[in-house]
Amino acid sequence: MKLWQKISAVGISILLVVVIACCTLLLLQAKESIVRLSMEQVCAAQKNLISSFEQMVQYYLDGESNPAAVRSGIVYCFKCFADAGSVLIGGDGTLFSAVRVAPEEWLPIESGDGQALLLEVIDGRDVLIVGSAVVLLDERYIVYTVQDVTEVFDSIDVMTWNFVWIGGTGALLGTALMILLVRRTTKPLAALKASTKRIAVGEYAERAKVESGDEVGELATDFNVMAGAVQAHIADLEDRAKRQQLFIGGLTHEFRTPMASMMIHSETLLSADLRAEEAQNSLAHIHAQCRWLEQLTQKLLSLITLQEHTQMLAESMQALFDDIAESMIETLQTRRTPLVLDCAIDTLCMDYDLMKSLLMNLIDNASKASAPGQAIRLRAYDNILEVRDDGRGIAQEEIARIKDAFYMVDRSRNKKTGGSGLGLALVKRIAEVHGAELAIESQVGIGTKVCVIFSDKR
Amino acid sequence: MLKNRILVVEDDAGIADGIAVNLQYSGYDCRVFSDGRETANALMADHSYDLALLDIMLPGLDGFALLPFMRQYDIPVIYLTAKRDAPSEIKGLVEGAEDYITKPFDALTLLVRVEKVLRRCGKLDRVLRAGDILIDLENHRVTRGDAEINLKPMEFELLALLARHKNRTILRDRLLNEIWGADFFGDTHTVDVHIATLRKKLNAADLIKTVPKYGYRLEEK
Repeated sequence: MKLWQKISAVGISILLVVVIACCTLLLLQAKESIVRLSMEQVCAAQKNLISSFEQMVQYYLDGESNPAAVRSGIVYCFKCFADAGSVLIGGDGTLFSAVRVAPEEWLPIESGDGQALLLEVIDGRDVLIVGSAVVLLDERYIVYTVQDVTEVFDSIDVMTWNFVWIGGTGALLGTALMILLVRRTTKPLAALKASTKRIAVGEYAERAKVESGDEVGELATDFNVMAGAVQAHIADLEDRAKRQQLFIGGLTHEFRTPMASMMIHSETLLSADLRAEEAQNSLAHIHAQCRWLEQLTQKLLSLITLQEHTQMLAESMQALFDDIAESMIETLQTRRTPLVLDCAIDTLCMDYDLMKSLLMNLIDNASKASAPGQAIRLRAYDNILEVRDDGRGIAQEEIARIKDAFYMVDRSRNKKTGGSGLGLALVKRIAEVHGAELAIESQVGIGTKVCVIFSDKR
Repeated sequence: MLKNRILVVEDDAGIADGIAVNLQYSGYDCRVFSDGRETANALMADHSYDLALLDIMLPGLDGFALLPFMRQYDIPVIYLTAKRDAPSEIKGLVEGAEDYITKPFDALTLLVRVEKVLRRCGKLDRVLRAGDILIDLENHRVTRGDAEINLKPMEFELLALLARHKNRTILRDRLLNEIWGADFFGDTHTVDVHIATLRKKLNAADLIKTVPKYGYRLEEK
C-alpha cells in the first residue's frame, strides 16, 4: 500500500466516523426534543382546556340539581372549548368526541386526577393520547385529547434522510479533497522515487526536481547533493580506470620493444653458429636491452611507490642547484647544452631527493629538446622553480598529453635519446606529493618553460 | 642461384641487427635502414629487392607511407608491428601488405614468414639441397643420386623445414608447431620419432644432429 493511500485511508476513516457519530447524535437529540415539545404542547393545551372548562362549569352550573340539565350544560361548556381532538367521557359513556378513535380503550384512567400520556400507532398513524380525570359537581369526568402526530414523526424521518444525504455528500466531498491533498503532498516523493530508480540504473546525471519547501523538499535537496557526490565519485573512478588502462597499455608497449630485441638475439645465439664478433654483438644488444628494462623498472617503481606522506624539510635551494649541476655535468657537456643557475630563494620545504629527481628530469628533457649550444636555465624565485630552454618546443595540442605516462611527442627520436615517456609522469607525481602545480608553456621553435609552482611560500 | 635481397626498415637498432644477422645467416642478402624518408630516397637509386620488412612506427616516413613506394617497385611487404591495437585493426591497416608480424617475434617465425612470401611470389628455388640429397618441394620428391627415397608427408615436411634452415638449431616445440600445427594433440616425442625414421630412411645419421635439451639441426659443412 502506498503512503498516500495509507494517509488517505486513515483520514477518510476518521472523517466518516466523525460525520456518522455527529449526525446520529444530532438526529437523536432533535427527535427527542421534537417529540417532547409536541407532548408538552398537547398537555398544556389540555390543561388550558380543562381549567377553562372547569371555570365555565362552576360559573353556569353551580347549584343546578337537575342531572339532565347538568349533563347537557357540561357538554355545552366542553363544546365551547373543545378542539379537533377533544373527547369528554362521563360516568355513563362518551359525552363528546371529535375523533373517530375511542381513547378510553387505549388509555383507561381508573383513579386519581393526574395526566396520563400514550403514544400509539393506531390505524397506521402515530397518535398521541393525553387523558386527565376531572371532578365536576361531585361527578367524575375524563377529558382526552387525541392528537395525530404522524406528521411530526414524518418530519423526523425527512430530517433523518436529509442528514444521511448531507452527511454522505459531505463525507464524499471530504474524501475527494483528502485524496487530492494527500496526493499533492506526497507527489514530490514519487518524483524522488523515480529519480532514485534512474540513478540506480546508472543515470548518474539525474537530479530530483522537487520545489516544495517542506521536509520532502529538503530531502530532495539533500538527495541531489548526494547524487552529485556519487556522480563525481563515479566519474573520478572511471577516469582513474581509464588512465590506469592507458598506463598499462603504455607499459606493455614499452616492454615489448626491448623484449623483441632480446628475444631475437638470444634465439639467434642459441640456434645459429654465429661468428665470434656477430655473437658478441648480439650479446651486447641483449645486455643493452636488459639495462634499459632495468632503468624502466626503476622509474616505474619510483612512480608507483611514491608516497603522499613524504617527510618535508626546509632545504637549501643553492645546495640543491649545485648538486644537480654537478650530477648532470657529464650529460650536459656531451650534448653541449650548458646549464645556467639563478637561485633567488634560500630554502624551500621539500623532499630533497625527490625534488632533485624532478629537476633533473626537467633538465634532461630540456637538454634533449635543445640543439648544441643552446643554454638551459634553472631558476628559483618566489614560490616557483622554473626550467627553461630555447629548444624545439612542444605543439599546443601535445602539452595536455605529455604529462601522461608513456606519452612521447616523438617516439622514434626518444628511442635514441633514451626517453621512456615516464619522466614527466614522475615529475607530475613528485609535484603532487609536494602540493605543487606543474605549469608548462611552450612555443614550437622558440622553447619551453616548465614551472613547478608551490602552493605557498615555504 | 642469386641470393634473395631483402630490405629491412626498422629504427630500433637491436631489432634491426637481430633481423639482419638471421637473414644473412639463412643466406639472404639484406640492407637495413632506420629512417623512412631515407629509405624512400634510397629506393630511387636501388630497388632490386625481393621483399621488404617494414616497421610501422618510423621516423621520417612511417611504414604505411612507405607502402606506395614498395608497390611502385613491386616489392612484397611484411610489416613488423609493436602496436597494441587488436590484430584485426592492424590487418585492416596493412592491407596491401603480404603479411605482418607482431613484436616480439622469434627468428624462426620471421624466417618462415619471409620464406612463405618469397615462395608465393616465385622468388625461391623449388629444389632444396642438403648434402647429396635433393628435395623437390613442388613434387614432394626426395632423391639421392638416382635413388628416390620414400618419405611420408610429415617426414617430408620435417626434412624440408630442417633443410630450409640449414645449420640452425630448431627447438623441438617449434618443429612440432610448424609442422603438426599448434592444435596438434601430441608432444615433442612425435618429433623425436619422426627424426629417427628420417635418419634411418636417409641412411645419413650425421646429417641431422641432435642438440641436447634444445632441438635438431641439419648440418652442412
